Amino acid sequence: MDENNVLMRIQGLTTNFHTYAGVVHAVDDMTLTIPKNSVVGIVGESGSGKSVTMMSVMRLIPSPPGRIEGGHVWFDGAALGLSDRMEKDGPNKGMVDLLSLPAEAMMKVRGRHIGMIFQDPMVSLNPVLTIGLQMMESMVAHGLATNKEAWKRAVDMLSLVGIPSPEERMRDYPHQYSGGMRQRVMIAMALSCNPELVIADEPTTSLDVTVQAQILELMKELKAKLKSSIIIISHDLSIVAGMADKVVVMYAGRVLEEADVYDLYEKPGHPYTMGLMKSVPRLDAENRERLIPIEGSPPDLLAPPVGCKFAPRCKYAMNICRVQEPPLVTVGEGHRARCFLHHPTAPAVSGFVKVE
Amino acid sequence: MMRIVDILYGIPTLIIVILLTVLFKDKGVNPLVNVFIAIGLTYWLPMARIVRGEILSLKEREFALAAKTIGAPNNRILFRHLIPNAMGPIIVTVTLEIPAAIFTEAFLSYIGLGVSAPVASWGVLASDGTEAIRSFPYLVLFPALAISLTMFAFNFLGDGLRDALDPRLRQ
Repeated sequence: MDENNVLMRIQGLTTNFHTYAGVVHAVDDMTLTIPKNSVVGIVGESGSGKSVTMMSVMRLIPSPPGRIEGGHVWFDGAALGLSDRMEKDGPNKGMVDLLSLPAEAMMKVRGRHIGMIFQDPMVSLNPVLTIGLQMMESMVAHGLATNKEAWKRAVDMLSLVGIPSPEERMRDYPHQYSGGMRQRVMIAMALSCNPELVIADEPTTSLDVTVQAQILELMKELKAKLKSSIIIISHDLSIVAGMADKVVVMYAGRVLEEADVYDLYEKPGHPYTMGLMKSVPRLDAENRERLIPIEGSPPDLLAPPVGCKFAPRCKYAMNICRVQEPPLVTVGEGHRARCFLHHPTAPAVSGFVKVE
Repeated sequence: MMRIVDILYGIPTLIIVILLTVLFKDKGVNPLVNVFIAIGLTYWLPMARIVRGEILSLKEREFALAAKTIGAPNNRILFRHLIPNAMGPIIVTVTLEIPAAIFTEAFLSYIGLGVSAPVASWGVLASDGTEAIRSFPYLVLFPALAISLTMFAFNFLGDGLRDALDPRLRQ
């Protein structure tokens, strides 16, 4: 990847929750690179650390019990306009570590440079304020516009996301909007300050399927119009496949595989990814096959298994998998996987493409 | 701080009020001001508890998190997002407390700890009226009626205000 084209680089991010029962390792040594103008999808089961990773990036982990224990979140310093805090040289030249920013500086990053779309639009809007006031809020709070300009831009944003007669709907309250429209408003709010990065945390999960399709269509349209990178978090492979350029598969707080979207579907480099593919219904299946689920359930993060976290559920697990955690190895161009099956001495497995 | 409130809340309000009025009685304080102080020192307790409880639950709601993600500072979240959401319970408490305070004043005056002549209050009027209850029962009836009606009126005002100010109840 071109070094100048990196918008954000998460490096060794570790977030733990200190509970009475013990320490929950929600995100462990997470590493991820977001290029500029790209769509990155993060897939994983519930509790695999997708959302916690993004909340860590935003520095909104509730603390206590949560704590970011280590790592860096490097963000393009030129975009932030924080030239005095940029790294002078090294691999992260020109980047600013969001985790070391003072709280006030971080507040200016939220909303202005990183926008966020939440899962449930029914509860993410303040019920007692008009849509207009909430739309204008981030622009005014960041000093980007006066009230009058913000109003105008909010109207423009509403019509951009397809709200009919936006001028009048600005004065309405959230309960007068339907679920799909509220999600459109959330998207418009997240985009109103032209952030460099938009994090969409399961943006369609709480919507019904037809509205889901509309929202995805809208996001695709906006992606072409605006110059923002998007991180799409989902547990639905098909949503990610339709939108993302690059996909990251997370499991038990780790990246198991990271690949270009076509590579991931054509030659998955991890048994977990293969399992995920098999458990998704396909329209082009020749005869009516049964879906093949992945047996078992995700590990207890209070006491994660030693070695590979997926080993207890893995059909191809070898002895070493239960003893030692495999490293994330490069298996192709921009394709990394965390699996011992890529080792030259590992046995061949059908449907699994090994690196030479 | 809330523990102090809890302790004070555990003591019956009337006892605190009576103690305070007795304490200030012959200190040259205007008896009316005396009643103000006694009521003011005790009637903030339920309000404090209700607002605190309400804010504690509201700040965990998703829209508070959403406000944080757009970079709103804490005081803005508090005043723009949380307080307006807590307005319903606040108004209800206020309108319940006003009649309660009127009633407390009436009671204090009735037992002779509040204002006394020449300052008039419904409690004093009712107190004076009871002395002649056998011959002129309306002397106690009308102040009592006035107190009751006022309390009713404030309760209805509270309900009306809450319905009018809460957009969720507006059709």
